[in-house]
Amino acid sequence: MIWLPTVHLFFRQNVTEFRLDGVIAQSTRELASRQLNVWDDPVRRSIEINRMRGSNAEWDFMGRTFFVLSLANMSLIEPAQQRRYLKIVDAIIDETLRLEDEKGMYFFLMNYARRRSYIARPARSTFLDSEIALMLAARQMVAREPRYGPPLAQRIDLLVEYMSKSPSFCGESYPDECWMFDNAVAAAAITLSDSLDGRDHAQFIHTWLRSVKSKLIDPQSGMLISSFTYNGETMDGPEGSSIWMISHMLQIVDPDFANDQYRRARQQIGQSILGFGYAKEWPASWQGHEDIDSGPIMPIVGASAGSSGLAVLGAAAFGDDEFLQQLLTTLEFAAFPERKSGELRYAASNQVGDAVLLYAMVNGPFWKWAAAKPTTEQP
Amino acid sequence: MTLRKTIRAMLWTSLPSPRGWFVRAVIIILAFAVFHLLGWRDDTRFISGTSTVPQMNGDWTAIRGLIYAFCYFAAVIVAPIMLIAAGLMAIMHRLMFIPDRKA
Repeated sequence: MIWLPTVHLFFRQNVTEFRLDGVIAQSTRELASRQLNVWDDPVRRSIEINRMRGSNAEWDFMGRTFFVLSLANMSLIEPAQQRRYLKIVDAIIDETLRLEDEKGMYFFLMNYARRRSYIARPARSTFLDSEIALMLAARQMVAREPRYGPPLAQRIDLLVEYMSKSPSFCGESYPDECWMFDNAVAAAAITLSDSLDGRDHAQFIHTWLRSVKSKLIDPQSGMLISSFTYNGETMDGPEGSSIWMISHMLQIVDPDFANDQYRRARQQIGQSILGFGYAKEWPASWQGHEDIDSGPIMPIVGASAGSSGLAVLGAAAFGDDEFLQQLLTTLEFAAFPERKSGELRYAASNQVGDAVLLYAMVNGPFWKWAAAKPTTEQP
Repeated sequence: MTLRKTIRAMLWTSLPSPRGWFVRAVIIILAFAVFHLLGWRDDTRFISGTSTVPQMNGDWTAIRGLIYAFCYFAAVIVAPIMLIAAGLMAIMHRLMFIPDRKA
């Protein structure tokens, strides 16, 4: 009665320690420092990537995406550092494209991708195409690099082609398995790309939104489901490790729909107890199981590491400072932060988890520009 | 008194007593300190589902991470409650026994 309600006070984190308008806050700078140093050091980078690939090859790929998105935002916050950040962005993009070219798309997918055939032929993964397109668009948004223009336009064309020909109007990430996370990233990448090259996919986005709103919303929770077959049959219902990112991506595609999805996720998945915030993997209306995306789910309270980590992104993106502060307090309490030599990392996390947190703390300038200025102007 | 006898005496200290609560809280904190110094904090990455050490038996490192996390939460949640209980109980005993002692 005395101790439990006060524990959070010893771990309380102020939002301003991580997130400030127009500058990179101290703890976020330490998070960024860790990521930058790992990328610069081949030995540390190899250890981090091997650890993630040992569990899930997707994390290697997603770690790149979130770090590139972080650096794009940091370039806009700190123009003086832009050259340094873009050098790393280019190195990540070039290496990712090279690995995809040399080893094939399966290099960044989980092994079960090889067990069946993709329905749409030739086989492509919307998971890879959408995130590569988003990385390229983020890079171009900061400063145009002529050699990235054609690959971006090509990825966008592929995404539109594969999504358009699917009965669910969504592309497969794995054989006969579509993920709303990846298709929301695709919609955001297409919207961003239009802002950059002046092409117009408004009708495509309109049709995509109409399709997902009519076919891919769970009637119980009102939230978008997380995975479904090529024909649009539900596989997994609304899922914490997807919905926070989906809401964030929708902010530049359909802001009202994005706000609605965040609000529903906050009410049905976001939790707080004794000053600590966390997120469940599944809403009460859906019986789901633990998987590689959720990470271990804590019994009784249902807290999921994957959902809670991405909830930080959701709370930051939607300006939900109260929930963000509670989530940061939980990170300080239960994610085992390690501050050493000006670097911050969370021992319970990994490179992709820390990259998501970094992106959560610096995202803003890039999205604000994309939402407010659908033109070909540079930010 | 040998070290073994001292430890045994500490462990057998009656739990519902200020000393009992205090001793057990200290044992929990010491256990956590030992695992922390052994560097087992890094193995808590099992919480995110990440394999702990590549090319090694992941199960053992996950167990180390689990033990570390268990001791950490015991040290920050359970041990302070024990210390508060020890303090409150000591005050109550003192209040109750002061007249007797004076007598």
